[in-house]
Amino acid sequence: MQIARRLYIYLLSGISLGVLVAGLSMLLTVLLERIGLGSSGAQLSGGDVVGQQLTLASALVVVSLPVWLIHWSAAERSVRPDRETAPAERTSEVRGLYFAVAMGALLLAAGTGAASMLESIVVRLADTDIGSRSIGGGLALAVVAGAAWLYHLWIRSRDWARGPMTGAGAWLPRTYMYVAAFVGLMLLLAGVGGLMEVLGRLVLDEPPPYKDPSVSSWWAYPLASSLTGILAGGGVWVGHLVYANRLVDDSGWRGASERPAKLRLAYFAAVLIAASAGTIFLLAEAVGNGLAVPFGISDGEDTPQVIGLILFPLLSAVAYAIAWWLHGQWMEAEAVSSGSDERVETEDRLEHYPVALVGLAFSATAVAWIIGVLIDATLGGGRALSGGDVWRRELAEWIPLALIGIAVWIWRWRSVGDRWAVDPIGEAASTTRRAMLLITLAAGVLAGIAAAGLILYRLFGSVFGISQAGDPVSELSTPVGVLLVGVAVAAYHGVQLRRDQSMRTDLDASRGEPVVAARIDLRLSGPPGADPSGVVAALRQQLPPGYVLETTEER
Amino acid sequence: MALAIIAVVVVLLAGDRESVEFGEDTPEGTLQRYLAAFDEGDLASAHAYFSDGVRDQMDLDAFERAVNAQEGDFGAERTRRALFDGRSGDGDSVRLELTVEEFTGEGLGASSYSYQVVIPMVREGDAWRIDEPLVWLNSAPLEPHF
Repeated sequence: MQIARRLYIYLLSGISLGVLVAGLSMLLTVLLERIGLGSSGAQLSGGDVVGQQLTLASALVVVSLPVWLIHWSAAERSVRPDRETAPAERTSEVRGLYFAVAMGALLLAAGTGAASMLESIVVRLADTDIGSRSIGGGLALAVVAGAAWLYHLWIRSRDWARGPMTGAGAWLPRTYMYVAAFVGLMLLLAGVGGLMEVLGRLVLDEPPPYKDPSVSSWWAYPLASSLTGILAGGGVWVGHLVYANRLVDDSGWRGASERPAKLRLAYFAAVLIAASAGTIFLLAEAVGNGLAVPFGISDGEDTPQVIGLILFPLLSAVAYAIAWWLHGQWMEAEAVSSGSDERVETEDRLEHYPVALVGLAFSATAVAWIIGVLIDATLGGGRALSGGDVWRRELAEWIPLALIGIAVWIWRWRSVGDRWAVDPIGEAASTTRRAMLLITLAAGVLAGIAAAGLILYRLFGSVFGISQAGDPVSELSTPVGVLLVGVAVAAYHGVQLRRDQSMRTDLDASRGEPVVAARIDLRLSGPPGADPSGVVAALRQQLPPGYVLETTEER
Repeated sequence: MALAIIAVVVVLLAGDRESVEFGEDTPEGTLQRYLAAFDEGDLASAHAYFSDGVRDQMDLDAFERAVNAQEGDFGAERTRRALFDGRSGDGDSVRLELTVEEFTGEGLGASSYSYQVVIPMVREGDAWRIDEPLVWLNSAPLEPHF
């Protein structure tokens, strides 16, 4: 009953808050644009858009404000400390879900508004005709949504100050915090990459190929976009991470709740995966652009352009590598300071397995593609026969990805091997290892199945004399590559899984615990005066080797 | 109370923006007259403001078909205005930069948004002409020529 009431209260609060934010930001937009933060020029033509906007904004505010006030007051009344049910309400999963969703949505709106405002400022400063010049719209959204977000932060902090929270009431808002930090970091890294490229191209005076070189301010929009990513994304990342770190350092029950949180480890692992993937990809792009020169297929027309093509992705890769290294260091330092051996072991595994998985994913994809290209080149497939430099271009693109991916995989997998050498049973029992092996096995099997399906479709088509479009070598080269790599990856990791399973079984056996492969629960009953214990004892005599009959309850 | 103050301030400040009459022999003036003719439904006059090249690409019939196809679905449910932001280029070929604000729909389901457009203008003889096939200020869908 309480859950239904909470769902109603928080759903209505959330919806009316969304409408209120939309109405207020529209109202503020009109005001800000009127005082000079909108389009600067005179009205050339058209109707009374401002009047329409004011009408809509006023209606939205007038409708939503009382609805929000009534429902939010009810929500706030229920968590007043003088109420007996306040602790249950304050820590309820529905309230936790509300804060996670509302704060996420408000942050997204405020971030979008801030990003739009920053873009407009740069566009105005650069005096370019690409992108919006209206600062007012973005600023209004950032201010209104930001104020609502700050209010929710204050309310949630007050909730925490009133006592501990556990379960979904605690981890749902925590999920918001780490998702926001992760998204902010990714925006920051993408912005740094974009900024490196714009600055590099400005120094070399080399506009990107898709830009009109006659437009002198070609750099304005990419610069606005990258600065927005850096400022908005960086602000969100730093803000949330600093807040999360303060919680970890807290000596009270908030710190005690935050430090062992699996979501924090998941955040670190997600950053390691994304940052290592970005580093590998950008590094491979830089090497590929360098490799294109001896292959005679470089897009660079002169030496500065070639240098630029190598340098820009390389500089972006450095930013991703720094994020990768930093998060690895932070995760390790936290594990060591926790004083828990188990935490140290988990942290060490999270530094190795996910990155090995990323390296393997890149290298396996690239090797499969390269096999396909080589089959085409050897047997005369489309990529070789079409003339030009298609297959050389593909090799220049995929060879660096294969080599760097394999190098990263070997680097991390050797560390995994070292761990195995020290404690094989502990490693075999680890969930991280099992998850990594299962993910890889599943990917290998699925890729193999898809490729085998394509190959067999072509084969059966030939057997049944069905006319098939396309050259057989071109159609089959990549599926053959995928099949070979998929089978190899699946086989290797399948063997590892079987070995782990066998070690876990041995471990259970050595502990003296029965290895239960299958079990049936039975109920034995008899007439008045019966002797069920005697019957069970007699049945035990008849059991085949390895079978056990246990008495769980006797009445 | 604060809301009421904001609303009053907004209403007081947000009167209609001043409409400026641009000279007939300027690119802005040509575009302004094209828009005025378009808004009055005088498509023949509006079409006359296109350059020779555009009129070859899109004759009056094609223009009317494009207007019916693109504008027919909105009509009275849409209010829009064009704000002049600036001019780039010089000589006989310039680009006019504008912000378009649109308000579509009715009631609480209505929405408001704005976007930027750049309109190329060329001088032909003594007059400035629009050098892109448009429906109001949006690119016109070109019909295939056989």
